[in-house]
Amino acid sequence: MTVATVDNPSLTTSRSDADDVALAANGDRVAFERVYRTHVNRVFAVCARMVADRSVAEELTQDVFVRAWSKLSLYRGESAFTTWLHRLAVNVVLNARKSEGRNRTRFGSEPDEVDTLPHARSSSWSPGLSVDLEAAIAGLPPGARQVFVLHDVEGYKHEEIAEMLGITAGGSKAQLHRARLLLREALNR
Amino acid sequence: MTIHTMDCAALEERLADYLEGDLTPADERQVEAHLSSCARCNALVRELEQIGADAAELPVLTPSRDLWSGIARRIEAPVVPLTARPVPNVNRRRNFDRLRNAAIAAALVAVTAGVTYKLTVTRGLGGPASTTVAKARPMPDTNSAAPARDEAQTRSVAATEAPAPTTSSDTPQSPATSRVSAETVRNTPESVTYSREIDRLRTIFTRNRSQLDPRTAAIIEANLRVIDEAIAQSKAALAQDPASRFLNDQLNNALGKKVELLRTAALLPNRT
Repeated sequence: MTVATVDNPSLTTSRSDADDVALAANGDRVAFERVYRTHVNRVFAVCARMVADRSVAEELTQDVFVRAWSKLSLYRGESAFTTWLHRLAVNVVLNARKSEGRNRTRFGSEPDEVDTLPHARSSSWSPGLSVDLEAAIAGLPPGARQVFVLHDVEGYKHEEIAEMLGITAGGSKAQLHRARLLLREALNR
Repeated sequence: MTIHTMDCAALEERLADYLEGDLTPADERQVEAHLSSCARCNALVRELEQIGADAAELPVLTPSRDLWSGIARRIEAPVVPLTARPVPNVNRRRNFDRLRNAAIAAALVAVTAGVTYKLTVTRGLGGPASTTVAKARPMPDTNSAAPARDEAQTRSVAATEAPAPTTSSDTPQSPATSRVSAETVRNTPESVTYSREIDRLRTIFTRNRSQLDPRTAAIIEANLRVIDEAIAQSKAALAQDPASRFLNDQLNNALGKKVELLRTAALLPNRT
């Protein structure tokens, strides 16, 4: 599970990365660019999977690193930098979603009410074809998608997800099960 | 131990907890007993477990473009422009508070300067000595301790205030004020700075006025008129008693308030 690597600094943060983080925290932009190069793909991945829109995800990824730059001095090294940055990315995505939600309620639509999925790219599911799974995840309703990505892809626990999303751990479990069933349905079409 | 049989519907109800490992051992055994005898439910469970396993193995993704240039631009040191800038709504209250405080301060200055002016004029009207006082500077009066440089400084500031559009033109000048002409006052660095700052800020405010909320602009202009009146009264009083340190301070205070108010106005966001 991803969380195992995320939580272990020795596996995810090389010595030079830790040095760069420390330099960047002191205002070294060149070091911060190296930090960006090291982590951008992972940050982009979580953004892209949570919002299911690559161009939006690219904007959010920039937001994440701008936020990281301004908050880097607050990073105390109590957790792995990857964990810290990852959590920051999730928060940026969720805050963006809240703003989007506020705008959407003016027009009265709520995509999360959708109970069926669009077809995944292939008509039959073959385990291991991640491109199909990616497409199916992108087609999930936002609430189910976020829980699925946070739990099954990123390895967060239900209690952590509940705290991040402002729901109960039971609600997180229910959304996860719903997401898995919808994914199965999409992949088996 | 007896294991009760479970139908497919019952299994589906418990499936989420089963996959999360949240069932009691007894319930778990019931589920597994059903799975061993039902190919359909068994396939369902295997597929759901496979989805979770595949999700954990998804590769990292790569953006379609290099995002660094956009990030680098945004983390440059922010420069706050003097022109209109977007400010969260919470600042509106702060801006109005500033304006209100400036208005209160300006009113206090105006009242104080007015009272002083009245007192000075009343005293000056007591006899022809008043004219003499104004002309024969520096007359060692009650303010004899005031150094001559203070006088020169104050009068310079008063004179350089003239370029501001609303100062001398909008306010009727007393005969005493008119006697302190710009020609007779030399420009000190302080007075030049005051004048330049007021001119600069007034230009910005004038340029941005149409972008401001009309109500806000009206409040600012009303406050500027109050301050200008205080400035004019201080100048008039100083013309009667050029060596007065108190009047000196009053005039400087009023000029400072004008700069402060204009600066606040120049920094106001659009439609605030």
